[in-house]
Amino acid sequence: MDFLNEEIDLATLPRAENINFNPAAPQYYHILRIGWLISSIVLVMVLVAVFVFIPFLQSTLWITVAASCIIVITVIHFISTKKSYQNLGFAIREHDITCRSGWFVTRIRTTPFNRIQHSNVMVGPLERRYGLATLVLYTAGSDDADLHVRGLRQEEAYRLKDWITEKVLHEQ
Amino acid sequence: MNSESGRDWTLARRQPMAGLAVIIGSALVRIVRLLWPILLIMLFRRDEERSHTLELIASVVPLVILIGSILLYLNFSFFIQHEHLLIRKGIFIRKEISIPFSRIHAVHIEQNFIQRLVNVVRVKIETAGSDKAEAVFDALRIDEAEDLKGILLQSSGKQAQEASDAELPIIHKLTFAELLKIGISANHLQAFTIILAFAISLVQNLEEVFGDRVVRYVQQSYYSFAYSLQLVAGLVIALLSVSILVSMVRVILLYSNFQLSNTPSGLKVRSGLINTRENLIPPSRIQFVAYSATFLGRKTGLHFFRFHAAEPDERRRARRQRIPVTNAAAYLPRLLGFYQDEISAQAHSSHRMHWSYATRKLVVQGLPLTLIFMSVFYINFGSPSLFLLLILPYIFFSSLAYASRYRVLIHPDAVQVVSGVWGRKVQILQWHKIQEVELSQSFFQRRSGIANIVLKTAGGNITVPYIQVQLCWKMLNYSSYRIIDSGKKWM
Repeated sequence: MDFLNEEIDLATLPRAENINFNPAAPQYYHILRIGWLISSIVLVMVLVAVFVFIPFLQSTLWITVAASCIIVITVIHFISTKKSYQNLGFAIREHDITCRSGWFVTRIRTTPFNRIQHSNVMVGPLERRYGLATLVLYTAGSDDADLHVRGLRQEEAYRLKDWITEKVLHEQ
Repeated sequence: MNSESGRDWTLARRQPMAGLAVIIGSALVRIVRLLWPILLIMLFRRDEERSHTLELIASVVPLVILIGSILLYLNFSFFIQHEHLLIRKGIFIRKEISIPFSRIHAVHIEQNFIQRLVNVVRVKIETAGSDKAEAVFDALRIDEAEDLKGILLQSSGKQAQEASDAELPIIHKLTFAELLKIGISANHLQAFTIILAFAISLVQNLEEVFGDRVVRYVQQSYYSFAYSLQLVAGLVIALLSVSILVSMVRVILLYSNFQLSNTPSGLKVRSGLINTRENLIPPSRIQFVAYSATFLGRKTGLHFFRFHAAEPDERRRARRQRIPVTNAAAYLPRLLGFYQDEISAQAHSSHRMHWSYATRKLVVQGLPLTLIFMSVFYINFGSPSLFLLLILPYIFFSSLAYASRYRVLIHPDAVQVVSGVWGRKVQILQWHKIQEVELSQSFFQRRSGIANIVLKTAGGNITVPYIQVQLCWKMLNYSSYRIIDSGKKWM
């Protein structure tokens, strides 16, 4: 025990590193893949435009270099999409909610219920198609301190929102 | 409702006549700000380019602005009714704003140059809700303003009997020598960027007015004497000396008449030579505190202190006043006393940053920067640009020094982060002020067992990069425990 043991024994603190995360809905992987597809198409289109309008680049060498770059980027992006879907999840404990996301950079964000100001369920066009929703929990922190719980089924999102609203009232 | 001074605030009233002068004055400032490029052209253009559009703009726009602001003045009235402050305003669309006393957070009194001339003040009313409900009176007489402030804060049941004898100044005016000290050790780079930004906006203004003719002219003249080394050196020296001058003037404008006092409702910071700014910081709103000193500042004992108070608006957060502390030993402990004493001495443990921070800086920042600069300089100057490769070891070793001097100090009540290579920056945060904790770990960090942690508060974030992942988890677990267990409110 190397710190803080005067007040409490750290070993007795609930450990956030051992919690089990609820995985995102499988449909959310479709949304992520569509996102991957769109961004890949945009990337290819931009590059094609560059090659059409800059004659200097119209040689086999540059085209090969660009094509292999695109292939590498899209493959890595595809893998990271899959891995970050596997990493996506949220966990609720008695007093706080924790979200995990990302693969290349994994982020774990925790906020206690008594710091949540209000909450919101957002449904984007793609999410609507797959019956999914994102639950947004707003804290008093700066703009990036709002927690987004992605990949929830819609009814689950609304249920969770109601439950958290109730919880927030209770905790304060 | 009658106040002690016998004023009847229930009657609708306008701002005093002197206010009209202020409003016209600020309208004139606005006009000049808007029209100066046009006026400049009118002065310098040749005869054959005469057209009447510019004259038309130059006469109609000021007229509209002037009449508009006079009408706004005439249509602005306010009064107090049933514990509400009511304001009626608007020319075409009449608007009535009603602010319940209970929602009023703070009342700020400010005075700028024009207002000082006619002896009135600006009163800003800050409410708990959104920024929109905030009310501003551009010109009230000082006694009126104090009176109004008393009523607004008193009735809300807040501890607002701000008797002037209760104000204990902590830091009085700064002496001229101290101002010079601040000016010299100020960040000249900042002044440099301001000048650069001003120059760019000037060029853009000219471009908008003249079209691309000016741009072409500037480019031609640029090519005709560009690349002469003396010119570049001369320009840099000139810009630097202007920067130092500007930051000197800025410091004098900002920090003359500086005063920090302790009032029953919070800390009051007042400063400014021409525009007097006054801020009230209630202790409960302070989320975390920070103080910093540059290398020169450390040698001369000059520190800047900042209370990071809860502020929903990012832009206003950036404008927060810094408190210059010329005698660190005497004042820092007193300032810290309003939030949390320095924990260096009683820290339970102290933690370092991982050295791989330096390699990351080298790869992510150093390499791309050097490559870009090198390729640009190589085209123009040839092999001497290889000297730029020295940037790489510089970045590596300075980041290494940064990492090795970085400390995270943990205490049951608070966490303290100390950083800086030449200068020193200290941030102190109480655990229960945290809103959210974010732990992040990149692909490369995962292999070395390190991670970053961001402690987010309503007054801004504190980022602690490249520390042991176990420490991150401990901080996360402990902050959750403290937030819930201490039962303390963050505001």
